[in-house]
Amino acid sequence: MMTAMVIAMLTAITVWWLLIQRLKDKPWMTQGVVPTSQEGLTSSAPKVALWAFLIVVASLFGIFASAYTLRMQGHGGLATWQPLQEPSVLWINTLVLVFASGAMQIARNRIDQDNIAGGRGYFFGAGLLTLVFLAGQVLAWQQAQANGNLGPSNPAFAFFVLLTAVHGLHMLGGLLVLGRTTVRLWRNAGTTNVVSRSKLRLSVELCTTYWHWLLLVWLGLFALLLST
Amino acid sequence: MVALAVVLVLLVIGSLYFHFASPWYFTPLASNWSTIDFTVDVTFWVCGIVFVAVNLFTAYCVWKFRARKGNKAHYEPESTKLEVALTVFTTIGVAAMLTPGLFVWAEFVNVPENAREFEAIGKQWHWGFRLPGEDNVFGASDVRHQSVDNPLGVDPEDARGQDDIIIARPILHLPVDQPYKALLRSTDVLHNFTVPQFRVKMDLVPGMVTYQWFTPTVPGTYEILCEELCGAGHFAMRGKVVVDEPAAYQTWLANQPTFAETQSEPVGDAAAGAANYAVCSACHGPQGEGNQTLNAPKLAGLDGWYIRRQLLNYQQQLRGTAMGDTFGPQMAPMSQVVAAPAVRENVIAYIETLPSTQPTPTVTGDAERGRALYQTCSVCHGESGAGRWGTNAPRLAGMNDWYLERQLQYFKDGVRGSHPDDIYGDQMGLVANVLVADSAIKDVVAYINTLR
Amino acid sequence: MAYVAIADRDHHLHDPQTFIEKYIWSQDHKVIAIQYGSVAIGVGLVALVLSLLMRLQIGFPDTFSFITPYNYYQFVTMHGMIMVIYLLTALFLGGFGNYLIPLMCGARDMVFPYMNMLSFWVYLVSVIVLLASFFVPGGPTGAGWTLYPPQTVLEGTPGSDWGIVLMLASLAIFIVAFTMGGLNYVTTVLQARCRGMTLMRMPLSVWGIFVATILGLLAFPALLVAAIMMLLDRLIGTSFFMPALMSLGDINGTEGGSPILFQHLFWFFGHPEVYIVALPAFGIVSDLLSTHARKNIFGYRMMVWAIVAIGALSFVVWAHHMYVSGMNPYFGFFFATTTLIIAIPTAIKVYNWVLTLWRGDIQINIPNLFAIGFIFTFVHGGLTGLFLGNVTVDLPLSDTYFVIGHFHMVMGVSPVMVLFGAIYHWFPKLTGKMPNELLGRIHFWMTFLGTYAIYLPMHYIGILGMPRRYYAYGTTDFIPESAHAVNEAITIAAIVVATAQVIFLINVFYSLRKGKTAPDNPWGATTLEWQTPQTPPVHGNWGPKLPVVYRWAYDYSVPGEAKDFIPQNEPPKGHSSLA
Repeated sequence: MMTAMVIAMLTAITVWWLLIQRLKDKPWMTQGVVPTSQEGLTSSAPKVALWAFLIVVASLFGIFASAYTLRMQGHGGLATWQPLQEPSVLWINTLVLVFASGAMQIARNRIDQDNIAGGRGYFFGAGLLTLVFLAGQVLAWQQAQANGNLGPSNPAFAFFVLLTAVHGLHMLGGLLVLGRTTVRLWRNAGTTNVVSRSKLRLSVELCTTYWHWLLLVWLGLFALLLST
Repeated sequence: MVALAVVLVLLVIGSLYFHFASPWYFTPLASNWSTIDFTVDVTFWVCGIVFVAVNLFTAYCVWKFRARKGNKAHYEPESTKLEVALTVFTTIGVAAMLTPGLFVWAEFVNVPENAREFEAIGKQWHWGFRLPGEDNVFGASDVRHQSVDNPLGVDPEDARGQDDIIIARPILHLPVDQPYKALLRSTDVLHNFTVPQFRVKMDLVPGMVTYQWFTPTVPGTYEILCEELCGAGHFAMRGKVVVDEPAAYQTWLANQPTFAETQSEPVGDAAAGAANYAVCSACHGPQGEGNQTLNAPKLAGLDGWYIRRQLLNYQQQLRGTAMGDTFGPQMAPMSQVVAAPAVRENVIAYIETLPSTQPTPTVTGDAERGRALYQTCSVCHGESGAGRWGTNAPRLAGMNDWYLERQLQYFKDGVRGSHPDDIYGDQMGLVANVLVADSAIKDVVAYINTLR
Repeated sequence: MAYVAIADRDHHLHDPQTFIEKYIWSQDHKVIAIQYGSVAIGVGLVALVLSLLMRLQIGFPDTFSFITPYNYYQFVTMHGMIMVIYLLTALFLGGFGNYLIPLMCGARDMVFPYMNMLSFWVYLVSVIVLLASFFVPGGPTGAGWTLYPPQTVLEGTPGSDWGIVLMLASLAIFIVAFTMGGLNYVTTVLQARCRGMTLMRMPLSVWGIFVATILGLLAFPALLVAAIMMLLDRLIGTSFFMPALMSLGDINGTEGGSPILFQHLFWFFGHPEVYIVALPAFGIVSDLLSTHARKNIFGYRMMVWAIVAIGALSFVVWAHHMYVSGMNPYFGFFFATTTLIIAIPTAIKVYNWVLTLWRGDIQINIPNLFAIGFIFTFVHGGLTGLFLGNVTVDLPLSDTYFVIGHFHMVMGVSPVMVLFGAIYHWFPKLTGKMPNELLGRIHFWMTFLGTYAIYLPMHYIGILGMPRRYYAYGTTDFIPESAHAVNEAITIAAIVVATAQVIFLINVFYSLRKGKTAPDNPWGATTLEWQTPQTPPVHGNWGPKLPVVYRWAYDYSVPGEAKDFIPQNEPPKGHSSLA
């Protein structure tokens, strides 16, 4: 309950702050063209869209986390929550995901400096590591189930699978974009077209931001699971 | 635009007139919650003034500033002073409504010390009640203990529950001028316990116990309505609260069984019951197969709990006494023959041993149309018409179709189920009205004939 | 200069050639808007018919065999869900958002036209999945649009087999469509405004839709979470919402789940949802009133602040839908307070609308009739909301017809008045034809008076205590015959109002073919969408050069000017055009 309220308030304040900035001028007083600094944000449209999407993703996981906490408090009667023994493979998975983000970052740094050939290997590697992560998550499910002979009616197990599955689906979606970008990195490595190269840089940058964000989400989920 | 302005004024006047002339307002208050009525009045005054003022002002503007030759609009982007004034004024109005609201809510949340307790148990689609008995403590309860013989799911192992008063029928009596905390417990889905005359209400949530409290102040009989959609039978989930003077209440209370008493009802002996059954067999047949000529329905195949209730209904004159009931008055004295609890239980046990064979159909109707109609019946009586004790619905499949036809007609006409204490009958009456045309009755019975 | 690059940079606008590319798989925001609008209105008509079936049963019980309780609750549920989500949300955001945002911001199209196109087709899939529930065994779910567990997934409720599965799947698909569209609207407003168009020069229509979109992006995840968890409860036996229970005589096997958890999740979405419908209506009606009174919207800055404040506050009021849910009763204090606080910015908006009319030059035309009709009906609906928001007053009124009267006034009647006003207002721009005056007036009067006749009395039978979601009342000791007569009258009024909508449809189709050709700017409006070189605007909207904006959106009746309006892209006197 408290978490939901906190999220709601933070959301409210953020929105409020973002827009209250602009509410000081009297628009009927200022005629003529207005200086550039007052118009819109300066980053590109895809970046703005991605950040908006990431806030939506954060909102989704935040709400899942609230639901988890509420359910765990035995809200509504019998506290039938049997805590889960965290499968050990989760630690390895976390490390794998950290490496994936790391590889992404290296790839992005190199490609930003126009070194596509040097960076694309790391980019592809990040994708492979993510696949390993996903496989590891499935393994974790099997481990958790075997550990306590659990099934869907155990809420701790159900939540564990649900949270990791939703996170995994988001990673899978990211992998689709990563796959397409990888193909383009290989095809267009040699191109001199400025627009193509800047588009490649943008794609890599967006993927990296997304990966880092999902890593943060995973760390948050992991911490939540561990704390119970 | 003049027309619009005039219409707006007329609508304001009309709405005011409607409000003051309306016969549809709160039911007369029968509880202590006059403070709720007061808060509503304050709200009506504040909102009413705003409604009239804003709309009359709008009408005025629409008329006065309508487009005409030579008219030009005034240029004024904003007026901070005016907006601040309006904000302050609105805040005062809001505070005027919220303040009494919060005080009264505090009263509602804090149950008075001298409140006694009763428990209302809600399930699809009927009510049951429990009182804590002499020890003033409720015994534990759980859905897993629920059964035909223990409909409220009281834990038989818990000593504190033995003296709890069990009211398995949806009619509760309360003494006047005594505050009561209603503990609300659902055994299946969300419900809501509402008596409009008491003003307060609260949902029942399975897995937890919720509460509301009130003091009944006016003797009388009041209806309980379920006010949280709980499935197809939601509208038919009714009950009654009877507010008694103290003496009448004590009389009623003395007649209610304790949990221990309900668990020590005599167990029927089928062998002994065979002899008791002899008097019934004259009409209902030696194998309980029924006899259309004598208007006695098939009994074999029916569940004991249903036979029990109908016998009790006849004995207590909830059934068989209404105008237009040709055959009920015949059954009523017969039910007295097996009135002694031991005898009654023996007969029931014996009937339960009788084999049930599919009778020959006599009713013709469109079974396909009947299937669509039966969808509503199936939620209580089951898809295969086997009946469900949980919803108080008897077996339909394999019973006499001519009898089903007559009972459905009786329910529709209020010949059966209209006694004020027969809540289950009333429920059937509400639902039977779905069968609007007479042919609808034949259709659904024809469909039931196909069920095995 | 940086901003020119942003607004008009190398944006390869998709260049459609074939009929299919132009009108079916179109990436043009105007075509997508019409696609959204047509599907939304189409499915809305289905919901309208369902409401008539419900009213037939309530007004004339014991008359219609084909309306059984089982069916009745299915009609109730589908009517509600379709109207709130698939009609109102889709039409205001997918329809008007798509049409107006690029035009009012001076952009050629949305920033992601391909994703915009996808969002419509995914929306269409969600509608098809929803309607498919009429054809599965057991039919659609009959749990009420609020879909409360545990009843929704248990046998006593219609459609608990397949209907609920399709409903939840459809909602999830809709949320995907909404997210794609929402990202487009938000990014376009933030990134693709033309030169000179600051946020504070945007018309309130855009502000309303913009803030509503942000609300949606943050609130729909809660519905998605609830839907996924309920789907799992239904399909694989998890116990997120399912406590230990015995349903219809059978033990269920679940344990420990919380039905109230679902309610918190649902209403955390559900309350912002009503503002997702209301805020675009607020924004649009501000522009309608302003244009047709030839006067700037009064207090533009406060209006923007109020939209933002209402949006932000909408996240902290949700449990006023749960006062009698059995949640911790102490929450009632908090939520009653926040709910009554949210009334303040809303009231300010009402005052400002009326003050826009004050000393204006009020034109007689159909859009303005609907706009003023909005004010009257919204005042009524908003005030009854104060009753229900005050926890103590909600106690006797919860789950009665008072609630139904209230939410229809604020969701069904007043936003729909705005929708009609908006359609008549932008019809000339969309189609190049003027709508027929006479048919429009008849439509307005029948709808305005008819809906008031439906919902005003409804509040009073609710105060009496007639519960909502009842198939029939039978005989009770407190409901007089006259109350049943009221229900008959309401049903008849509903049939009349529904029929009046046929007049609207006739007007639309008739005017499309035989309507007078519309001038470019028949209402003399200042906002950019009326300043396109062609009417209706062609693909790319603006021709070779994007507009440049020099002033706010409300320069009406400026003292010293010859005309009573100055378009946003007209340079100030003595200023050479920079465009």
